[in-house]
Amino acid sequence: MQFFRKIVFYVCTAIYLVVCPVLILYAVGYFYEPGVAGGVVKTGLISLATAPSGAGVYINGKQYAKKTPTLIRELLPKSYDVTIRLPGYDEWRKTVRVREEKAAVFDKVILMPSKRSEKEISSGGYRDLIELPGTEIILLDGGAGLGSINVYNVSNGKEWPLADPKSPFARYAPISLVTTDNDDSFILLSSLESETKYLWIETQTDDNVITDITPYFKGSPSYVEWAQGDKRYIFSLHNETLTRTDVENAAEYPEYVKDVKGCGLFGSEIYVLKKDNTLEKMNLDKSNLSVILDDPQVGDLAFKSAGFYKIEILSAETILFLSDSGALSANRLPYKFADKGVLGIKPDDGKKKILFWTTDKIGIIDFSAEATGNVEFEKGPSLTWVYTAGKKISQVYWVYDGSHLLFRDGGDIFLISLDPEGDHAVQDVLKMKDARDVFYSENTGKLYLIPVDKGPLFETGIVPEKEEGRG
Amino acid sequence: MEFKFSSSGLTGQDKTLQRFFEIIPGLTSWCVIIGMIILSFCKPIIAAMIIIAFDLYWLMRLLYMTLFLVLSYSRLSMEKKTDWMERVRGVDNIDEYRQMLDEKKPDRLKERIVLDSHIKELDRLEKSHKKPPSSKDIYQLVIIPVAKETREIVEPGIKSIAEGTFPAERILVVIALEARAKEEVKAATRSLVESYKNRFFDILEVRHPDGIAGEARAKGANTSYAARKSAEYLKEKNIPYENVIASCFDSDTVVEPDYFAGLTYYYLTFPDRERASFQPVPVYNNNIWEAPGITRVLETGSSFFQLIEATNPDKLVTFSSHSMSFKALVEIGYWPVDMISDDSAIFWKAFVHYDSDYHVVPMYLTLSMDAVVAESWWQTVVNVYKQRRRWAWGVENFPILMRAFLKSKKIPLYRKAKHAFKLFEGHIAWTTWAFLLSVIGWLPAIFATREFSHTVLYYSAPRIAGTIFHLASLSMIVSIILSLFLLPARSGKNPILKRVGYAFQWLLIPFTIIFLSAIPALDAQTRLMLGKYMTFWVTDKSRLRENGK
Repeated sequence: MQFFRKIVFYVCTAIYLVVCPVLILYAVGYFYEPGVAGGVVKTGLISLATAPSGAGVYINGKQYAKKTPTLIRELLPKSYDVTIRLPGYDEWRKTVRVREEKAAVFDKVILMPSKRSEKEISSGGYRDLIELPGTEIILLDGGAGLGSINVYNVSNGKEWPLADPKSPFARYAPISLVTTDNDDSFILLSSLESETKYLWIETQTDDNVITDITPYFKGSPSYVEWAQGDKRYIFSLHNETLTRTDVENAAEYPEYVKDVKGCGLFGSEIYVLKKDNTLEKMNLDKSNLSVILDDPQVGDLAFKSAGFYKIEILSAETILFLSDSGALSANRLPYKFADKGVLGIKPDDGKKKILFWTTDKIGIIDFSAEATGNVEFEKGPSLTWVYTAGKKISQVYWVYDGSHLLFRDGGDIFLISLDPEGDHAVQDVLKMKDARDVFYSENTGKLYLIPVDKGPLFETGIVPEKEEGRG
Repeated sequence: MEFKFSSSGLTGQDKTLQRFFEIIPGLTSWCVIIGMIILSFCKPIIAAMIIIAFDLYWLMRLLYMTLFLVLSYSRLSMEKKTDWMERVRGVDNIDEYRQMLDEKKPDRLKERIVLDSHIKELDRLEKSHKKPPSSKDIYQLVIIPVAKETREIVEPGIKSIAEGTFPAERILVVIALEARAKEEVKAATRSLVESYKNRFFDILEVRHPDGIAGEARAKGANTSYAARKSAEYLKEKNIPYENVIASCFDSDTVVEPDYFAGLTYYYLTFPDRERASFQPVPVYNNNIWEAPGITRVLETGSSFFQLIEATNPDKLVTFSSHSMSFKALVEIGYWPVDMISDDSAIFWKAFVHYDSDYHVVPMYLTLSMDAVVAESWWQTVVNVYKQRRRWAWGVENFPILMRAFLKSKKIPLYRKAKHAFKLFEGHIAWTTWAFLLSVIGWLPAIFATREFSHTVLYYSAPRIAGTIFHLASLSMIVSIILSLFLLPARSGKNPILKRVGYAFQWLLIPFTIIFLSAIPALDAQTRLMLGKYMTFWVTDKSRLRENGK
C-alpha cells in the first residue's frame, strides 16, 4: 500500500505541475489556436447581458449558440460586429474591439421595444407632474388649487388627495415648491386672493399632514432647506442672513449665520459658504464649528460667480457648489468645472460620479480615486461630455445602475447608453406633444408622464422588470 | 535521546526557542488569511491566480485522499469477517499455520486480498527473526480515565471488554479516577469494580490525587499515575512488561468483540512490537443517532481522516483511544502530565526518545465512542467547538518537537523534515483551507476594481472554481456513501428514511468546516501564539434516551 501510495503521489504531483500553469494561463486568456504561429494566442472575451434577457447574439453575422446573458470567450484580439436581436425589440448593434486578456463588458444593454406602449395608471385630468426628488412620490397637479393635487406613490400605485376638499387650504393655489432630497415632505408656497401661505406638507398615505408655517417666514426667503429626515429645524436665507426656525417649539433664530453666500445640509451638519469665500461646517445647533476653507486664492478661484451657492455633499471627500447662475465648483481640483449654465446635478448611487446638465449639454464628472491615476501630473476628477446636441434639456436621470441616462429635451425623451470608450449611443424613447415634466423611477424602471394637458397619468417601461432583480 | 517532552520548566535558550516555535503556526495561519484578504484587495489579479492554483491543489489532494479512503475502508470491511483469535493461535504455531494458509485457495477476491495481506505480515515476522511471545503470555492493560462520567457512560465500555473474544481473564482493567470527582462518580466506580471483579484478571480503581506539583489538570496526568500504579501491580504479579499491551481509552470507548484479539495479533506480528503504538479506526457510533446532523458529519469526518492516515503508516500519529507496548510506555516515562493532547504527544515522546525508531501500526479494527451531544442544539454546538479546539491544541506538540529535532543528532534530517513539515502543514491547512475555499476565494471578485472586472481572469476564475467544486462533489458523494456504511443499524421507525436524512446532512459541510473546524483550530493556534495556554475541558458525555430526553 505504501509503495502504491508513493506512485499515486508522484503521479498526482506531476499532473498538478502540468495542469496548474496551463489552467492559470487559460484563465488569463491564453488559448491554443492551431494555425497561428506559435500555436498559443492571447484572447479576450465579450460579456453581454440585456434587459430583457434571452436575446439572440450574432458575431460578424453568425449566430452564437447561447442567448443573453452570455460570455463569448476565446476571441482573438480584433474588432467584431456584435448584433443582438429579440422579437419585438429594436436591434442592438455595436462594433466591439476585443483586446488580449481583456473583457469587453456590455452587461447593461437595454433593448428598446419596437413599438412603445404606455399604460394609463391614473385617470385624473392633470396639468403637471412634480417629483419629490429621491423618493417614489410624485404630485399630480389638477390645476385648481391644492384640492386638485393628488399624491401618487409609483412603487405601490397608491393615489390620494394632497388636501381634503374640506381643508381650509384646499382652495389655495400653489406658487412654488421647496423640496429636499430623499424626503417625502415639502414646503409649498401658495396663495389665495391676496393671502400667501407657507405650508409644510408631510405626505402620508391617505392622510397628509399640512402645517401652516407662514408665521416663521418673514418676507420671502431666497433659499429654504431642512435636514433630510430631521424636521426640527428649517433654515431660510433672507438677504445673506441665515435664519433657523424650530418648528416644534415655534422658536426663531434670525441672523443665525450672517454674510452667507452658500449653504447646504448634510446629515446633522450645516455647511456655510461666507461672503469672503471661507467655508465653515457646524452642527445644526451651531456647535463644533470648523473652518474647511480659509484660502482666499482657492476661494476666489472656486467661487467667482456672484449669487447664492447651493452646497451638496457628495461624500466625505467631495463637496459640490452650484450657483444661481449655474457655475459648478467642487473642493477637488481644478475646483471650477463649469462657469455658468448648469441647471442641475445628480449623484449616482455610489456617490462617486455626478451628472450635470445645461440646456444643451449633459456631462459626467467622475470623482472616484481611479480618475486621478498614479501619474506624475494629477489629472483630477474626469469630466466627460456625453451629449452636446441638446436644445432645452431640463431633466436628466441615472438609469439602470448608472449605465444609461434618461433625459428630456423639450417634449422629447431620449435614452443614452454610456460607453466607457466614449461611444455613447442615443436612442429615442418617445415624443410628447407638450414639454412637461416627467418622472423616472429606478425602483420600477418606468417613466411616468402626462402626455396631454389635463390628461391622465401614464407609465412606460424603460428597464424591463425582470432584469431589475426587484422583488 | 533523553529529552524532557514538556513545555514547562524551561529556561534560557530552550524557553526562547519554545516561544518562537509556539508563535510560528498561529502567525503563519493569520498571515495566510490576512495576507490573502489584503492581496485580494490590492492585487486581485495575483490573488485570483493563487486561488486557482490553490483550488486545483485542493482538488488533487481531495481526490487523492478519497482514493485512499475507499481503499482503506475496503480493507476495514474485508477484515470484518476475520477470526482474529484463530490468527493469534496461528502465530503461536506459525510453521504449521503458514502451511495451512498456503493450501488455502479462496474464490472471492476480497478473501484473497485479506489472505495475501495476512501472509505478508507473517512473512515479515519470520524474516525479522524476532520471535513473538506466546499469545498465552500476553496480557492486556486497559486504562480508563474517569473524571465526571456516570456509570451509564463507562459501563458499556467495560462490558464490551469483558465480552470480547480475547480471554477476559488476561485483561487488567484500571479505572483511573480523579480524586476531585464527585461522590456519585466515585460510588459508581466502586460499584463497577464490584460488578466486574470476577470477569477480568483484575479490575482496579486508582485514584489520582489532585494538585500534584508539575501536573496540569489533564487526562495525561491521570493516566500516567494509573500506569505507574499498574507497573507496580504487574511487577508484583511477575508479569513482564514486554508481554503487556497497554490501551488508553476514553471513558466512553466501546470496543468491538474482536478488538483485543486483533490487537494481540498485530502486536505479535509486528517485529518491533516494543517500539510501536497500535492505532484502531475510531468511530462515534455509541449515540450517533441521537446526535444532531452537524455532529454526525464532523465525527464521521474524523473517522475518515484516520482511515486515510492508516494507509500511510510512515507518517501516522496516534489519536484518541489507542494501544501501545507497555514496556515502551514505561521506558519513555508515560504520558506527559502537563499536556492536553496526550494522545498524540505520547507518540512524539516515544519518537524522540527512540531517535525516530518508533512506529505506529494501523489496525483495521474499530472502536466506538460517543458523539458530542448536549441537551440543546446550541449547547451541542458549543461543546463540539470546544472539543475541536482541544483536538487542535495538538499544535502544542510542534514547538516541543522542533526543539527536540534541533537537539537530536541521531534522527536523520530527512525524517525530521518530513515529520516537522507534515505536522506544521497539517495544522496550517486545518485553519486556512476552509477560509480560502469558502470565503477568501471569492474576495477578488467582490473587491474587483474596474480594471480587474474588465479582464478575462475576472470571468474565468469563478467558472474554473465552479468546475473544480463540481469535480470535488464526486468526493463528497463517495464520502456520503461510505459514511452510510459506517453507521450502525438504526432501530425504530423508518430506518431507511433516517439514513437518507443523514446523507442530506452532509450539505452542512460549508458551515461546519468553517465554524466547527477551522475557527476552533485558529482559536487554539492563536492562544498558543499569544501564550494563553488552555486548561483541560472534559467533553461533556451524556446519552439521550430514545425519546430525546
